[in-house]
Amino acid sequence: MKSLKSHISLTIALFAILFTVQLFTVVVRLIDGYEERLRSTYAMVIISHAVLDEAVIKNKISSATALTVLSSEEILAELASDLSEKQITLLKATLPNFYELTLNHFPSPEALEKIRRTLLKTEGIFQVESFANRHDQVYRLLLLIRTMVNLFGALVIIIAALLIHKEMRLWQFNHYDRMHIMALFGAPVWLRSAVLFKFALMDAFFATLITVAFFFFIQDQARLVEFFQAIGVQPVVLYPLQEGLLLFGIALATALGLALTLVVRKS
Amino acid sequence: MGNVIVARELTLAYSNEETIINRADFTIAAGDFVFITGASGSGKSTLLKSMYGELTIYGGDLYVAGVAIKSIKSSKLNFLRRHIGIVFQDYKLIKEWDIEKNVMLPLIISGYAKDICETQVQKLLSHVKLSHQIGKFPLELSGGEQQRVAMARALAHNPILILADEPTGNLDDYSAGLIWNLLEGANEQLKTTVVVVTHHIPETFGVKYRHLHIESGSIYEIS
Repeated sequence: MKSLKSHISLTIALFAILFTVQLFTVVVRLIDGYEERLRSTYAMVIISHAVLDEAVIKNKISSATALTVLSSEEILAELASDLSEKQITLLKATLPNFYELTLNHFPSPEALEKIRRTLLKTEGIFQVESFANRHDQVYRLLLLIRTMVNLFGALVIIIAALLIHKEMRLWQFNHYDRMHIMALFGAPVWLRSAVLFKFALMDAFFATLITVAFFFFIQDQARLVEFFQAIGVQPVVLYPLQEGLLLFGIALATALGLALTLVVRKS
Repeated sequence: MGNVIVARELTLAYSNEETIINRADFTIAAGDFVFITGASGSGKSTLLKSMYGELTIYGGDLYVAGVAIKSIKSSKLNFLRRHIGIVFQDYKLIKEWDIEKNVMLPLIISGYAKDICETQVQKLLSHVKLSHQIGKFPLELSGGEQQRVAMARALAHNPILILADEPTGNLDDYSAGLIWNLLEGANEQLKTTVVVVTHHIPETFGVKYRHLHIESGSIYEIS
């Protein structure tokens, strides 16, 4: 019973670490997916007296992917009923050129301002609409979420690592007699501590199993799927094999690393 | 025959103020059976501890099987201990292991194959008359039986030296008799050097022995 309690304590602490790591991975994927969505739908509007050459713009703005002409025909068609043909022709002649510029990534507000200023220095361009306010809000929100997840994750990992270390010291205390007797008969440190390493291995395996099972279970849950649909992103919650192995590696490295630290310090 | 233990001006202490053994000189030859006696707190067990490297040598030198204990590194100490069998008054058996695995411990540490270990353990348990108890755990046995398991463990790896710290201290006369017989047998038949710390040397003892006595930090040989 006592041994089972020790196993549960370590398994839960390791699970907390693995859960945090996987949650972090999912949030990063979610934010990346959301950024990708923003990027693919985001465009700046450029108004210019002169006709713009896409190659020239791409040369000046390295992140530019396409420069599309926005047709003024639709607006003019709506005005057609109120204006004479002569007035429309005159208006058409005086109207500037409208363009939509798409980028290959979702820029920071600073980068966006830099792009805007570069464009305004281009001959003919007299106005650039970057929708900076809305863009800035979304970007800062994403950054805030990512920072909070990072901080939360770091905190959970530190606390869990401290708990694991404490638990292993308890193990060592519980197994002190056995380790001492083995030492009296000349057992090397690794053999004396084999029980610690065995426990660490077992608990790393169980913690991985629980984490993988948890994320595997929640990935198809209706509420989560609805949430992803609502924000228009479909991140992968878990790659069972690759991420299962990665999580096991993390759990093993954490548990064995802490056990080893303890053994080396004691010896 | 060479000496298994050599002490030169050996000084043992737990602190600067209190010296337990003071500048003692003695040798124990291979094949000797030695009793160490003395009053409680005289330093008998301390002296024995120093022989298996459990205690830091305060002054002088102590050689066990030619190895200087004072400056010994942990890897060499482990190696030395694999050639020593130790018996304690409180048995020091691993209570989570059955008696078979307890006896097997020195063989596991020395890296013997499993089948060799099993054969050797069966012989030893038969030798200490505990074959019928195989599979049991230490706490299921009487004190005398536990000490016989500890004896079997001490003999398992054919040590060159057996160190016994009051091996019969907790036992009734019958059990104590069995332990003395086992120690006599190890010394007589296997020619193992045996050093026993005790309060009482048995009145009828079957082998020739030496008697070292500790008093006021000095070690005297009693003829």
